[in-house]
Amino acid sequence: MKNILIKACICLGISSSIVAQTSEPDSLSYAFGEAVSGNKLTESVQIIPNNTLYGRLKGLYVMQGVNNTNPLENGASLNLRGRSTFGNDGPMVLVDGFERSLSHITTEEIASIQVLTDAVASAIYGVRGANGVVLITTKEGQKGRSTEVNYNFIVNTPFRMQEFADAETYAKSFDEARLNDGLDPLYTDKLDYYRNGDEPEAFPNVDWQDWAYKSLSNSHLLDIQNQGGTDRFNYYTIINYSNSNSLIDFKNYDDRYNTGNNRINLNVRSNINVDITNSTHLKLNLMARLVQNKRPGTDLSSLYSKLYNTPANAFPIKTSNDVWGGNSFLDYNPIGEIADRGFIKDFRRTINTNLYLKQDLDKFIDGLYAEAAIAYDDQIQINDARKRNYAREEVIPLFTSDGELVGASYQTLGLASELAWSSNTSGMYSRSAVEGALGYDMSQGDHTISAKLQYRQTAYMGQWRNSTMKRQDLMAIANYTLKGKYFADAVVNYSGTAVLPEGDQFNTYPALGLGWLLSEEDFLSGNSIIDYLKLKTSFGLSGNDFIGHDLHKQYYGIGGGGYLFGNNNTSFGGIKEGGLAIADLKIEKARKFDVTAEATLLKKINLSATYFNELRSDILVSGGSVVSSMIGISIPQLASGKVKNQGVELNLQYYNTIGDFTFGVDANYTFARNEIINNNEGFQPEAYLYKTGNSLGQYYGLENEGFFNTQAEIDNYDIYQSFGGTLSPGDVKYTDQNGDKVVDENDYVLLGYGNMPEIYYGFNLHLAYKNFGMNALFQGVAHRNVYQNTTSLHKPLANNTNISSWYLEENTHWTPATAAEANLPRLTTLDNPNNFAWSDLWMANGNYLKLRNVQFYYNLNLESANKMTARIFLNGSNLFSIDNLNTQDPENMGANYPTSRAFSAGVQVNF
Amino acid sequence: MNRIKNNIKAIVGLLIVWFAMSSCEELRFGNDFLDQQPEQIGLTVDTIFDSQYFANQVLTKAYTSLPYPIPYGNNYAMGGDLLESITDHSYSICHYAAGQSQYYIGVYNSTTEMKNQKYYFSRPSVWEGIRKAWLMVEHVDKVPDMSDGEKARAKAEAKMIVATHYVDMLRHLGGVPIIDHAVDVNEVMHYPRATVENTVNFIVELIDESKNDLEWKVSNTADDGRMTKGYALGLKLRTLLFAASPLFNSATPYMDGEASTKKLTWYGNYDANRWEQARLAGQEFFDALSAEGGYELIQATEATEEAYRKAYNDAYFTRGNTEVLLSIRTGYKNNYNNRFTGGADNFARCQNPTLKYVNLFPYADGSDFPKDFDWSNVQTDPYVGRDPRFYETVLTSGRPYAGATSELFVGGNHRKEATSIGTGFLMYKFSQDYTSATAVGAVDNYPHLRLAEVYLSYAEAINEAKGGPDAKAYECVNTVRSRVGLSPLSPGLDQAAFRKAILKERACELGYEGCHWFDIVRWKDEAAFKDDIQGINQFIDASKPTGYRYEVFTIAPERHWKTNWSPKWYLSAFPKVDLEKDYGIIQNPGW
Repeated sequence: MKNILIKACICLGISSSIVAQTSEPDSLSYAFGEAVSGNKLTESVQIIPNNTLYGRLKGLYVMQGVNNTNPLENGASLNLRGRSTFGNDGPMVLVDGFERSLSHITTEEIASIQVLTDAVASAIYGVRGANGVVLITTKEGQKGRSTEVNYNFIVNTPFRMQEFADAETYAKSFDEARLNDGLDPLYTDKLDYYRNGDEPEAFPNVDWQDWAYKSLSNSHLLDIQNQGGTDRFNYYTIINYSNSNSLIDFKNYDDRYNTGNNRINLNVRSNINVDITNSTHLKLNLMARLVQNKRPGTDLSSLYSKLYNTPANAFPIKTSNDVWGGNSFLDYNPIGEIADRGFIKDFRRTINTNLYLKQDLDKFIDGLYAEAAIAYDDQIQINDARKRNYAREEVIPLFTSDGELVGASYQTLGLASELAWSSNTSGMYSRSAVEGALGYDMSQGDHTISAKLQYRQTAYMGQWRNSTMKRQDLMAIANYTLKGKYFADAVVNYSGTAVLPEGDQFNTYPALGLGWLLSEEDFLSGNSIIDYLKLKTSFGLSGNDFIGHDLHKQYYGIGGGGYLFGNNNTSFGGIKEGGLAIADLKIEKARKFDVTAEATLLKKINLSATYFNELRSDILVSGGSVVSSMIGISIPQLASGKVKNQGVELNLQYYNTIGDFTFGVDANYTFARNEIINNNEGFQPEAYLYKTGNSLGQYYGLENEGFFNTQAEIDNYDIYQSFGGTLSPGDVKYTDQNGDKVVDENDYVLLGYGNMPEIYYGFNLHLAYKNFGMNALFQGVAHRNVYQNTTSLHKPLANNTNISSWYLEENTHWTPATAAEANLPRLTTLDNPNNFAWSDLWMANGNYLKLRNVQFYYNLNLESANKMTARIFLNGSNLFSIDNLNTQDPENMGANYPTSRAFSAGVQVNF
Repeated sequence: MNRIKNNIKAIVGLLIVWFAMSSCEELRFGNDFLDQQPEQIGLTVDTIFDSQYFANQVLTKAYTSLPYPIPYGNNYAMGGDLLESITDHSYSICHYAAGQSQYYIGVYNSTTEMKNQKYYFSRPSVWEGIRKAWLMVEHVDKVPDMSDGEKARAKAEAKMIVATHYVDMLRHLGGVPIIDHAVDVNEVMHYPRATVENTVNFIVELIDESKNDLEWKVSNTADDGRMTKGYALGLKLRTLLFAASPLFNSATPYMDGEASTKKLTWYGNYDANRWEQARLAGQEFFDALSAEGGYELIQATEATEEAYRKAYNDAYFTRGNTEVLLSIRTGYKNNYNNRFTGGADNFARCQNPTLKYVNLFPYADGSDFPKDFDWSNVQTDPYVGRDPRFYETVLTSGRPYAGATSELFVGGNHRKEATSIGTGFLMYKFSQDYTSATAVGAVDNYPHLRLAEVYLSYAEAINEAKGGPDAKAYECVNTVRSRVGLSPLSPGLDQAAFRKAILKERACELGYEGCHWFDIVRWKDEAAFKDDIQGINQFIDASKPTGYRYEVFTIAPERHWKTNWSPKWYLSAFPKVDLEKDYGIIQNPGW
């Protein structure tokens, strides 16, 4: 390629709008589970659009996210067909043809979402295509003019909040644990105080979570959409406003401000299509977004574990001196953290812009056209913090010599400070793309040809180093259709990325797709059952360039740890050397193959079935198992990792109308199982320790054999459990897999599935009768395990932490009396690395089936002159989950912000 | 329509202007587009060796790799134990450290050979230090703002760091692969083991190339801790003495196997000249010492037990003294990470001297503690009036300890029951009385090589090379003894008796300084592996003259190698993972 340098201050952009415009989303005839229309998505009333996607599309694994810092921005994660790599496995998300975050737009402005997983589509995105593509198209204006107004009022409640012991239960458990540890009980003579609750200052009983969370919080969602157009011009605009509040709310502590957690989002969009001349088409998308997040001045990401870990009897919320309660073990008061640390506000401003021009060149050659596109996105976030510290004091009860409580003394802990101001920026980036294409469409007789030569370059520049990503594609795409029933797509993409060494940045990604529309063949035409039947297959290559920066260069740094010369404690700096450069650096290469059958039967049933098989190779994996550490420098990674991922996708859509009654179902099912072919594992002392041949992310650990029930059993036990601590009755006994009389990491075996499920399915039911209707979206996963190791919830008491109802009531922990039926180890106040070693004791089945959303609506037919229609509806999300955990959300197992269950009421007016 | 057209033109125009303003970069296409801007700090070999400031940091980084056996940080050698804990002189009660978890029960082998055993061949920090040292040697000539003398000295220091690591590898593993350059990404990474002879020669060459570019003793105290010629010559003697000892220098290998056939575990024959080479190395050191001065044993200010103890304590535990030839450092003694004199886990309390070791210490006048001492009939306190070094090495009852008095009698604070784990003695060295007074704000010092060892090594080399001790040999041993007030060795000892006296002197003088393991290994002292590990239970008993009844007990279970003896224990195993990488390692016999 020749150097072309245009001296103009413009950033870059590229559009694949050409590829994007394939879906015709609506009703049952669209895309066999590969695409969904925005109208379906808005049935789920969600402020973050990711959260409308559960179970909607085949192959798309949407997993609930965790966002503890900004719980109101918690969006689900997306994966296509499970995982195929040790590295970054997130799909590429395109909005209107350009890579953008889905969470930057609102559900209401989405026209359709489509997933592209086949080899041809992946090859078109070259070095970025291997993880698949999620294609989002925003709405465009229709002829005429119309206005739509939506308003939703949403009430959030927590789903499966965890319960912890009250003060009396805690004190009893703590003493039970101390006895187990050979220590004297602490609370024997204090239990009455906790039971009676008549000395709440000296003997408090505080339900911290109850104080920290409201039982309800509300949000508002309002949008106004205007659209219209003529034959040559159309426009679409939306103003979308949402104001949401989380359950964390402790306002009015300081009358100058409230520390509640609130988010305000304003999105404005204008999409314009216009034919400037008879042969020139222009499309312009402009989006601006303002977000304001407000939250308490504490570090919210650690608040939830503070709420978990503070025992009910630790200290009162406030002492009688109106000072926050505290003790010397914990350096916080959880409610003080929310109410009295000041507040943080962040302001985020985002613009997304793109411009597309198409010029027909029919005057030169019939069917010839040129395209150009440019996009520029930019974001900044300003974080303004006004934080303070609060004082705490410890209540020390005073007793007379015969044990009568006569009062308390107070020990001050920590000092209050005034509000201090600080401000910084984060989340800055700019993204740009430039794209140009020369295309040719021809149709003659039985032959239809569409060909295109396309250039694309994209650049992303983030706020911190090692974030810049630049990519370039030059590709030829051709589609050929014979007699309207035989199809062939071919693409050759010469695609480059800046993370590879100069001179070696480009790879070629070819792909071929073939299709056969059987229903157009004579033997099926006119068939009364089969309306549509198509077989298609694709195979080809694509890449994934999410590897580290500068891996092919040898760098040094300062601050590598110093040494002390002389006779003082003076350290002299040492140099730091980055890992040895990777000699033969490559990016991941995906070899994809799939075959699909699609059919429409009886004009009411859509069926599709896909088999897919991907081999991902050249994945960077540790070189440690083949290179000696004698080289004296971090052992370079080797691009020799290999993962195979294969599975099936099924989709069934059925719609029928009988009289006033309409029924529909749209169900999809995906099974994806990956296998590690090579991860440079090197030598493992036992055969079962090899991860090769198993799947990514599976759990490994010890197998438990129940508990030691007597000291004699421990004394006579000749296997050494090497995880530390002295064994006592009620401690876990593990299988010595290799028979070497030592239980250690070499006894880890494969315990089960990982956190990413193999099976992902969803089904959407639709029922309507006259003006009433109902939609229900179910989504489930199977072949999944979760690991339960959250402090206080699953690991009680040690290090002055708390104990949960899960441990005490739902399960049976070991005591001499419960030895026969116990399923959890004894209580202890000490760290017990033996009992909490990685083992199947703490594994649980992570399958679930959730009712993600249900909607009841009623259509009002307002007989007015200007065609005004309206719909009112009631919604519920996360209403129930069928799973094996019962009191925990299988998607939210840690000390996190609770999962939200929401109810909403809304109205939609069109005129 | 025209209006719309004009509007669109205006919009496009505005957009272009706005793009122009919002971006400060030129629009690039083609190859230029993918050009990278620096995303790293961008220091390369060339920029580092463009200034003394950065170049020195490469050498400093190499220094940080020097071995520091006291548990420090998280990746300590032996999981918290000292090398002595697997000898007949000490017993560790730490159930997860190397002694208990690996060696006593005999589960140590090449698959368990990982970072927490006595010497982990693949320890990355060691090889990183060696690489940094070679980077310094290869590139320092490029540095514009360093004098030739500075460059030569920097190279010599770097080579001595390499030599220091290789001496440890030689003593633990025998012949090892020789890395004599900084590895390049494009080279074939095949590194076969060198023979013992070649490994020794490699070390001696490094020392001989470096010694004359180093100061004999640092002239500026700010350089204390750096490599000196004194250390270089002392290390040469340590190396050649080990190499001349029967483990390597023998008519037969200590054990048969492929590695022995290929002379990776011994020389292949006995050659008396190897002792002579060791003796010459000692002579070279002491000739230089007479010429240059500077080093001497720290002497007591008066002839009291207290003063002798202080002199001995200063000798191993203070920086910048006249006795330590290479002092290795990490920071303050009470640094949280130092597990002997501060941190949360007191690993020092895990190290229990054995009765055999306790009995080794003579009386203060130099006479031996009786071999047949009758512990059932003790008339006077057996722990009074002993070699001053005893009190600096071993803790017994009734001495200042941890802000109080040590109670090692049964029922006391430090020995609750007669069946408690341990020997009834605690280690005193390095941890001392475990109070803030001795640790807080005091800089640490690990004596990697002390002048006292050089004296004793030279005496041993003379004794072996000349078939018996001469006056010089006696003078060397007596210099060490007299520093703590012990009488001279009785004259007229034959070679064997003198050898025995020296080994005993080394054990008393260099306790817990990583010497005794190598002494029993290089002399193939199988008996030391098979000795009972014994302790003393000291019961309060007013009817006894000392107020205590003493009961000798043997620690059970016996060490694995006592009943399952194999000479394989003389050298460590190479990690199985390294063998599997197939880059040229041949396993030591028996593993």
